[in-house]
Amino acid sequence: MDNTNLADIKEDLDNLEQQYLTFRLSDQDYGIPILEVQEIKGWTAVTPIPNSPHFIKGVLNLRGTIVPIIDLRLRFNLERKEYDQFTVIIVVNIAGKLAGLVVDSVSDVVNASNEQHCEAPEFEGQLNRQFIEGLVQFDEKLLILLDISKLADIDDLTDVSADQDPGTVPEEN
Amino acid sequence: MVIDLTQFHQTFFEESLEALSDMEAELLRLDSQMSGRRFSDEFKANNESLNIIFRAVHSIKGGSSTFGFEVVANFSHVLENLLDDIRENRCKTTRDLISILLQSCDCLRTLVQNAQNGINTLPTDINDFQIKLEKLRGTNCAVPLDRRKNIRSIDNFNDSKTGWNISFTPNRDMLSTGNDPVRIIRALTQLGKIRSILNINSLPSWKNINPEDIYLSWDIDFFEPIKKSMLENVFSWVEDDCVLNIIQKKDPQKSSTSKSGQYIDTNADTMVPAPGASGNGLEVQSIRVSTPKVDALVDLVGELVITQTMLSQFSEEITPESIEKLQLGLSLLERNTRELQESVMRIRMLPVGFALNKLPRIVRDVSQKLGKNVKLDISGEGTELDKSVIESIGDALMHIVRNSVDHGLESPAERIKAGKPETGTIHVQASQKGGSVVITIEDDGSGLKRDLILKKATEKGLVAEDANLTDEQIDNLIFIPGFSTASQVTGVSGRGVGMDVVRTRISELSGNVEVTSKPGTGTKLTLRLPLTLAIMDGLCVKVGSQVYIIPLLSVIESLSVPEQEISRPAGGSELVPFHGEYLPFLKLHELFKLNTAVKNTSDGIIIIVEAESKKIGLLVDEIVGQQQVVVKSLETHYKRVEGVATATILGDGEVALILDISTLTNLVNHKHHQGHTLKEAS
Repeated sequence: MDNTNLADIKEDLDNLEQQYLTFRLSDQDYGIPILEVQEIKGWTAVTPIPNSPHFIKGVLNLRGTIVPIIDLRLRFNLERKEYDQFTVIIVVNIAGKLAGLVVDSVSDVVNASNEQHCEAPEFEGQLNRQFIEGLVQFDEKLLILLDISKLADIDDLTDVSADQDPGTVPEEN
Repeated sequence: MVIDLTQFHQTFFEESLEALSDMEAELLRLDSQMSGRRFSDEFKANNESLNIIFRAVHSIKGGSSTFGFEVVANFSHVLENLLDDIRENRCKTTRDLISILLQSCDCLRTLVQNAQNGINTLPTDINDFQIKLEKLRGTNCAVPLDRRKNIRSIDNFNDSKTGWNISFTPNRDMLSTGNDPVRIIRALTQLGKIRSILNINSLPSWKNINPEDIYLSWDIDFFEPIKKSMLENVFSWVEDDCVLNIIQKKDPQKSSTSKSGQYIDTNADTMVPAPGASGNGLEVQSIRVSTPKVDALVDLVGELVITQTMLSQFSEEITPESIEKLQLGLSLLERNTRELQESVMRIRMLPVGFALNKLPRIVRDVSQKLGKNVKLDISGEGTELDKSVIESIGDALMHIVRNSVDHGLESPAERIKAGKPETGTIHVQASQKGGSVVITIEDDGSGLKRDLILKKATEKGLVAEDANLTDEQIDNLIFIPGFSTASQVTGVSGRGVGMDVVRTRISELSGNVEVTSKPGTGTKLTLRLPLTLAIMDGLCVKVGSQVYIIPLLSVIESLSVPEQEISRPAGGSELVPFHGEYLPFLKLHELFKLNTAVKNTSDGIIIIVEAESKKIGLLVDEIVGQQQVVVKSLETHYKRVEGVATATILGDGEVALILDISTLTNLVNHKHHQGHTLKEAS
């Protein structure tokens, strides 16, 4: 195989653009791969599940299937916010399992190539780095790309965020 | 082109197992005609029954040799020979013989199941049995049968001079249908001794030969005087793809070579496998649905489409006058939907006979082993139940019936002494009552021996020495894990795993089991099972702003109890009086951490529920109503939640959780509870 050819392919891959759905959560923009999004719906009341973690709001009837709803603010230990007309549920499909994510609002669909990604720096904050896929500079703003499969893994909900108590330095590293 | 025969294997296995069930049922019918007689007595077996048995074995033999399961083919061949002897009155029919035939039925089933699992060897015990079977025929060939030459020689027992001349000319394209003349001739050799003459007259020159065509024909001398239909059966796969002529030998020396005429069907009995009327205990993945059920479904969908069209027409021009029509349409739609739902559910329903048809065999074997005379009386086997329920109750039923024969019924001598008929009766009855199916198993034996049960339970520390138990409570001790009264472990029962397993199994299906017993007159077990697991009747209750569903089968009563009637013995638990008993109760709002105005029993309602014969109360705010709910899984997208069985969707589209009553009762009855809390779902 020709080495230059390989390099070309790699370059192509790097330039490959992926689409991300962006949403807001406490004045910060986040993005998730659009291929993992099944649908977006407005906030409707859910049925609480007894003795479940606090960020599981409950379950919702999505045309006959019962889908758990996760409040991303609570998942990230952000402060609770009253739900309003902008509050939406993003229904994601991770390996056949559905989950709804409650976010403040959805913003846009953006294209970002792998080239634009930069590694998540070590920073102090509420969010554990294992949930972050990368960062993208977009329209002068920082977009945090999330690894949705870890966020909404129902069987592994105990690993919440880096710090259980917001405001302290993450123990990691 | 070669057709891959393996695609038919599954069908062959299913049909073979069904044929074996038919055979077993027929043998048992023969046996029951003989009940009360001595096992060595000879009797005249009903020809029709024998034919059914023969057909079953024959179709297994045919299929297995076609698909190359030689071990199965050989065994069924030996069995078929024996059956043929019985049919031709060359062999005494006795109950002992029927026992042997039943055993061979088991062996054959094992072999078929082995073949299904890819094992194509002959287990030694079955080999021994096969040799025993051959000896029974009075032939001296006690040699292992997996050598086919020996089987053929066994067939040489008859010195009759007449045999058959077979002329067999396959059509050129027979190979394209997946049939191989060599395999057919090989199958013939299994029926008896043959001499085949290959005819190569029509073989073209090498240049013109097409390797996928057959240019050969055979003239076969078949020396055995067997039924013509048996020969025809060998060719049944290819009867449309060949010119076949089977002529009886007039004289063994002169062979007829007539080739005229197509295959002529005489009025010989045809060897078709018996229709699969009865099932087998195997977990089959497919459901056979009767055509009327499907037709009903198609009709309903048609009506639904019409109603839908009607409604959409009205919606285009809504005027005050059309409101009435709209309402009419909606009520039609409602009826259609309900009927459609019922029909769809009915597809999953199977007659409960599928689970009951294993019982006669158990009763026969166990009673024979114990020297008791037992008559099994089954009624209501047409009652329909959900397929998954039927599959799960088979073992439980077998266990109960086995117990009845072993512990319930007395020996003939004891029965005569007690002034009862020598033959004991076990009556199994299935019937539908409301939304559930009730199966009762009743024997006319000695009843539960309460003193023995109590003694045993005390010995094992299951009840306190000084406990003062009612008869009913004592009877229910048999459901406690690790309890078994059989004074010695027999091969039949008494291994200490008993009725508790039955109860667990039935509870898993959200059913329940009860026992009632009268000393000296018998014991009766009642199983109550839901018709289906997909839809259930539920009681909707409200706690705070939430609606929960309690399965109606578990609900006993609801009561309103003033706060001052609640007893609070030391230890923090609260008890509610209920028909002379005091029952613990759970406050659902505390358990589920909900906000509600109803904090005490005066304001709310207590629902008495029962699971695994433990009763508890549940305090709720109010009862909303009773309705049929469609069960939806929580685990598909979430996971199991402690205290919650499944979920459902209410009329307004909201999700309501269905409570898991057995978890809740166990929570209360747990000895070391520190207040009642559910396991935190992490």
